Amino acid sequence: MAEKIEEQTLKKVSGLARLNLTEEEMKKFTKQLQNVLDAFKSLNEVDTEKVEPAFHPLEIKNVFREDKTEPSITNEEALANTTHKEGKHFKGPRIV
Amino acid sequence: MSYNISVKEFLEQVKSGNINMDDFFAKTNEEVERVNKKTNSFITTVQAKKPKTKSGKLFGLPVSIKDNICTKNIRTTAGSKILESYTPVFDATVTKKILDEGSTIVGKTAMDEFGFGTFSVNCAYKIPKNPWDLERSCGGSSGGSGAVVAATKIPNISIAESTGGSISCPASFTGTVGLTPTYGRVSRYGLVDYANSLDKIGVMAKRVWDAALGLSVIAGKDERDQTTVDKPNEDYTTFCNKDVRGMTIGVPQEYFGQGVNEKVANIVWDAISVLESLGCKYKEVSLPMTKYALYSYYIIAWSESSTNLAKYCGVRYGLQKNLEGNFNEYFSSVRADGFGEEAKRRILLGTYARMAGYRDQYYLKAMKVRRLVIEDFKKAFKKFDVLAAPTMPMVAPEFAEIKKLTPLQHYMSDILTVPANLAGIPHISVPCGFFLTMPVGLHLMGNHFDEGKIVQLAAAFERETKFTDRWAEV
Repeated sequence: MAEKIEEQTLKKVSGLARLNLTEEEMKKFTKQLQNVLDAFKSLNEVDTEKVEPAFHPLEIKNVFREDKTEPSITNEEALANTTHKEGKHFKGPRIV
Repeated sequence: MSYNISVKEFLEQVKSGNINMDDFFAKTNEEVERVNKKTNSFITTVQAKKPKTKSGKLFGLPVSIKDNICTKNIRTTAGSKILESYTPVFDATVTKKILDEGSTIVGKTAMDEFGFGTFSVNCAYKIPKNPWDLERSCGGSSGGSGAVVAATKIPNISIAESTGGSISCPASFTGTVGLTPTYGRVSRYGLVDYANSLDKIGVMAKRVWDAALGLSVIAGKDERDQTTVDKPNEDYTTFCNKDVRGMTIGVPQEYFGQGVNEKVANIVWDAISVLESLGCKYKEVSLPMTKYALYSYYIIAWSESSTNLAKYCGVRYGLQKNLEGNFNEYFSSVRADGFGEEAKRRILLGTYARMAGYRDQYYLKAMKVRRLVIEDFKKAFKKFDVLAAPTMPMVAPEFAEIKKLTPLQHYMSDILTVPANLAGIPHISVPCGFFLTMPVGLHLMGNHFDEGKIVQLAAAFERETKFTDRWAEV
């Protein structure tokens, strides 16, 4: 666990996360991430070979309901928080 | 007329018609302004007004709400610049519930951006200050809620939220009561998600009874949150007057070890002696997974938050720019402008931990360690009703001290609150003394769904010690 983190790795991660970083942020975060992940190495001390992951603190089950439509927010309300709209639709950035 | 009375007395007085509500709301607005000016406890204040209902369990009671819980027509920023202009068109389930019971909203409380922090200093808005000492942090991430409750001399409660300790920590630092329920006890519908398998909405209040009442109102199954549990609603205030004789308390050794201030530890030991004098029996116990819980917690928290924050892309709501460039360029640019430093750090760490090639080492490993942490607790609760420990390893630090911390040291401050949050067990922080001028919190943790027991014990402790009668003067 916790290989050396290069700025190259961080570039890949920030790309996946759709997050532009400045040169300065890139340098700072590379160092900090390394520092944090080095400390987290100690998780390796725990033997988890026969342990099932606990994705929730309590065992939860799927919940189903009938596939029926119910009153929802209006089209106007859905668009109330954006300036990027045209008619009844959201307007997004260029896809290609 | 002075309204510096307990929530319980206030609600009784309102019922008997002894309170002029117009005068009360006017005084409430003045008091909220006064406290906010001194402590920056609110991101948005709201004028208290006559409830829509004619009666209710909270009739007339001022309630503040952490700013990551949606409130219809009231701006909800989650402490982030990326949501600066966001005004929800709907109420969170908890918001609806407290309004249906006749309360009035007085504002949205300050917090670390999206809940990312232990000291409420990772803020896009003003940093809230501790009413006991304005040079000190009021804890995080529900710091504003702690400051409001500690300093506001009118009856009120605050609806707060905890992912890894964000209710207990500020309760401990501000000398207030913080009640975090079992995961799934309270609906998360309308919460600005941080980490879905960890987030719990709870209550901060001046006294144990007030917090118990708040939880009784907001708890319950909700078809809009599949993870809510199907259990009958209880009135937790009924536990406040129960005798605690014969209750068994486990004291986890690991919670008094390295990194825990000796003075704080001694004050908590004194508190345990008080519980003993009330007829409880205590014994030390070992929770060997404690030191690993922090690492497991953070990996899960980063991973889940990095996926949750993916939705902030500057199109449907939140920060928006001119639609320039292709979608990748546009999203990346909005997010770079809108997120603060800690949010960026957690997005990067979480994305890394879930990335192909690392997922098994980090994300899955953390989930497995969580199972072991839960088993530690389950074993202990076979022997004990409640576990008792310090809430935080220190009293509220000064802002100057916090500035010197590295991100890792910052994360390490959560060692005592993270295990209970990771396991989703209910816990309550109650004031148990002072070190110099700053309050210390006693943490009582119960088994899943044992909210009643921790309320019972906290209320008995409060009755005996009266620490919650003290006020922070600002």
